Amino acid sequence: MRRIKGLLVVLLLLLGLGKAQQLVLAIPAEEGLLTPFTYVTGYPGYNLLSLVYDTLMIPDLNGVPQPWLAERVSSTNGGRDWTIRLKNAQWHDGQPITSADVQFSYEYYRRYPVVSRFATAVRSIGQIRTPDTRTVQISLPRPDANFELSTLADVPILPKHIWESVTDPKAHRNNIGSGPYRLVEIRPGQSYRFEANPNYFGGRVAPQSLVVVIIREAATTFQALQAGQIAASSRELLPELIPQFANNPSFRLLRGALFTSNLLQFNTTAAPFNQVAFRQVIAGLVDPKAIVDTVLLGQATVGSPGFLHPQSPLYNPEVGSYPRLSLAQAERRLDQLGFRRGPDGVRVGRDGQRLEFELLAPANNPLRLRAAELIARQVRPAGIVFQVRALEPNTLTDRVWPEFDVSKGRNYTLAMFGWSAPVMNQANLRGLFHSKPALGNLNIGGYANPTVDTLTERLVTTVDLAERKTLAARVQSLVARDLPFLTLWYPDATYAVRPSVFDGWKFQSGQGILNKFSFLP
Amino acid sequence: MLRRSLPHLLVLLLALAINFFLPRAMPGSPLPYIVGEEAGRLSPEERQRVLAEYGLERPLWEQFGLYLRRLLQGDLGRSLQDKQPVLQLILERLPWTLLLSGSALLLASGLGLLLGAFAARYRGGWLDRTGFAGAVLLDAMPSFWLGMLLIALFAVHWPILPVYGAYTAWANLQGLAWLLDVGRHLILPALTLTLSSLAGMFLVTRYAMLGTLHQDYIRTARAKGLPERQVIFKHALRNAALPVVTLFMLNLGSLVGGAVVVETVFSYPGLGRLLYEAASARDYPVLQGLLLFFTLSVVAFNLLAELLYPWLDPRTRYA
Repeated sequence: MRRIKGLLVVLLLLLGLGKAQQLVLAIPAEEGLLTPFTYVTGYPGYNLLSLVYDTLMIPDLNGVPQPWLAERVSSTNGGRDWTIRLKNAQWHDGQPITSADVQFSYEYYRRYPVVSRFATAVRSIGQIRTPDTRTVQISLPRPDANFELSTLADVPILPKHIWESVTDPKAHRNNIGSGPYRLVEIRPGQSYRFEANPNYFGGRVAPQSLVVVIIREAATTFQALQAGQIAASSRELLPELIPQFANNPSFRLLRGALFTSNLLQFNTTAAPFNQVAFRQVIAGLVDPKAIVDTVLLGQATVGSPGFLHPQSPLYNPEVGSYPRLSLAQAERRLDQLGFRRGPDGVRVGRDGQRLEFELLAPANNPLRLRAAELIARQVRPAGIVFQVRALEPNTLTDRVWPEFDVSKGRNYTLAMFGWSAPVMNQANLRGLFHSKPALGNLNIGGYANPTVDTLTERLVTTVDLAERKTLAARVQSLVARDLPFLTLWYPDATYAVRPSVFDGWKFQSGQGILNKFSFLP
Repeated sequence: MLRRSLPHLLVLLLALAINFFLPRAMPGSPLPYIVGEEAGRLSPEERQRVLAEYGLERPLWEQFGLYLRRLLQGDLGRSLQDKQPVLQLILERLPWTLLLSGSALLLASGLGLLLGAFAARYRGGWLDRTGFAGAVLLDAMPSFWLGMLLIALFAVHWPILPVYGAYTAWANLQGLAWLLDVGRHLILPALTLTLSSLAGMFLVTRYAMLGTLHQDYIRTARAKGLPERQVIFKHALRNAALPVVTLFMLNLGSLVGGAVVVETVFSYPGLGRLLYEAASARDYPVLQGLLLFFTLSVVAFNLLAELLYPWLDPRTRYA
C-alpha cells in the first residue's frame, strides 16, 4: 500500500513538473524569422524578440531603464558621453559577449538602415570606442534625453561572429542571441518553440520550454484558453469577457495600465476646428468618463488633457480633467462664436458652414467605433452632427497621416486615433506637438504653438529629470488649454492565465505580461 | 485545342494586370509593416530609401514591367512583411489548404449529390422538405458563426477536439500518431466548411435530377423493371451530371483559394489565412503571388472542365 502511495506521489510530481516545464502561449500573427530584421509587430513581436536577444539596459517593471547586459552605465558631459561596462555574459553558443559585439551591432544597424527598425535608434550616435573587451564608450554630438530608453534599452545586441559575414540581413536565419530563451524551431504559420538558456546571466529561466502558437482570431484565442489548449495569451481580455474568466477558479487575472492612447483627433488646420474656443466647446461636451464606463465597462483610465498617463514619470497632476460644460453653457458659447441653430436644429456659422462633420473610426476596433458613436450622441444636443464613418484601418491611417509624413497634409476633419506605448514611454511630446514636420513627425492635426515648440525642443536635449518634469508640466498645461486632440482613455489591460501551468507572470507597467521578467526569478 | 486555350491565355494576361494593380489601388501603405513603429520616425529621405529598397518608389508601370520580367524568371519576390520568398510562403501553406478544402469539397460534393438525388426522387417527402430547409438554413449561416458554434460545443463544452492549428505544435509525433493528430485537427474546420458549402451541391443536383426524372427514358427504364437504385444512379444521375460537374469544377478551381474565413477562425495555416494577412498588411508581393496562383488554378480547372465535357456528355461534342 505504502509502495503504491509512493508511486502515486512520484507520478503526481512528474505530472506537476511536466506541466511547469512547458508553457503554451498564443500570439495573433506570425513574426517572420524572429531576428531583429524580420520580426513584424512592436507588440508582441518585439517582446518575443527580447526573449532571444538582450539590450544593454532594460526598462524595469515601472518602465525606468536599468543596466541589463551592462553592469553599469554612466554619462558625463551633460549627457553627451556614455561609458558602459559589460557584464560577464555569453552567447547561446558559449562565446563571450564583448564590447566588440556592441560596437559591431550599433554600426551594423546603421550599415543597413533601410531594412533595420533600429536604424533610427542609433542615428544619434557619433562615435563608439572599445578601450577593452568589456568597456564601450559612446559619444553623442548632441545630448539626447531618451538615449537610455530609446537606444540602450531598445536596440538588441547581435553576435559579431555570426553577423559580420551576413550581407542580406533579411534572409539570415540564425537566431543565436544571449537572451533567456533560444529559438529552436519555427513552424511556418503555426508556432515558435523556445528552450530555456541554462547559462543565462539574468538568473534561472522557467519554464524550460515555451511554445508560442499563432491564433489569428480573438474569439478563437479565448475559446482555446477556456478549453485549456493554451495557458496564456498576449491579447488582453475584451471587457465583456472579464467576468466570465474572473468567476472561473482555473484562471488568475493580471491587471495593469497600458500606455497606448485613444484620442479624438482634430484637424486643427480646418475650420472651425482651427479655433481653440470651438475645440474647447467640443471638449466640454464630450464625456470621457461616460465612454470609459459604457464602452470599456470601467476597464480603462480616463484620459488626461495633457496626454501623458498618470503613471508616466513626467505626468503633471495639475492638468486635472477636461472642464465639462452644461448644455446651456455650450449653447451660449456656440452662439457667441457665431454658430446659430438652422431650421433642422443643426448649427450654421456666419459663413454658412453647417456644423456637420465626418468622424472617421477604425472598422477593426469595436471599442473606438462604439466610442465614436457615443461622442456623436454627446455633441448632438448642442446642434453639432458627427457622422461616424468606419474605415479599414490602413485606409484610415492613409487619410489621417498620408505616407506617414505630416508635411504631406491631411485628409480628414475628425478621427478616432491613438498612439502605441513607446510614444508615451518616451514622452515624445516634441513629436506630437512641434509645428515643424521634421520635428513634430507625429503632429497629425497640424497643431502649432511657438511656446510649445521651444519647450519641447528643450525637453529633448535636457537630461536632468527634475528639469524635464518642469518642462513637460508646462507643455501639458498648454496642450490641455489648446486641445489639439482629446485624450479619451488609456486601456487597463486584463490578462487571464492558468496558474496551474505557469504562474511567474509579472506585469510591466504600460507593456503587459509578455516580458523577460515573467520568466526570471 | 489551341482555339479552346486562347481565351484562357487572354484571361490569364488580363488577370496578371489586375492582380498587380488592384492591391496597389487600395489606399494605405505597407510602410508600417516594413519598418514597424518606426514608420513615423523616418525622415522623408529615409522613407524614400526604404521604399526604394522594395522598388515601391518607381512609377507603377515601371514596377509592373519589373514584376513581369521577374515573373518570367520564376521570381515572385519577397514578402514585405516578414521578408520571406513569396514562393516559399505559398508552398509551405499549400498542402494544408489542399487538405482542408479538398476534404471539405469531397465531403460536401458527395453528401450533396447523394442527398440531392434522393430529395428529387422523393420530391415533397420528408427527406426533400427537411433537406431543402436545412440547405437554405446552412447557406444563410455565416461560416464564422458556425465555426465558433462548433468550437464552443466540441472543444469547450465537450473538450474532445482541438480549437486551432493543423497539428499539435509542440509534439514531435511521427507516422500514424502524426496522421491521427492531423486528422483530429482537421475535423472541426472541415466540418464547418462542408456544412457551409453543402447547400450548393444539394440544390443543383436536386434541380438537375428533377429535370431528368420526368424523361421518357426513365419511364422506359422503370417499365423494363430495373431496380429503383439503378434507375436513379445509372440512368437519371448520369444524365443530370453536367451542371453538377460544372459546379464541382468551379469549386475545384477555387479550392486553392482556400477558405479565408474558416482558416482564419481555426487559425489553420493555409493560403486563405495568408491572403487575409497579406491584404491587411498591404503586402503587395504576397498578394500578387497568391492572386496569380489562384487565377492559374481557376483557369486550369475551367479548361479541364471544358475538356471533360465531351467525354462526359457526347451531346456537347457537336454543340
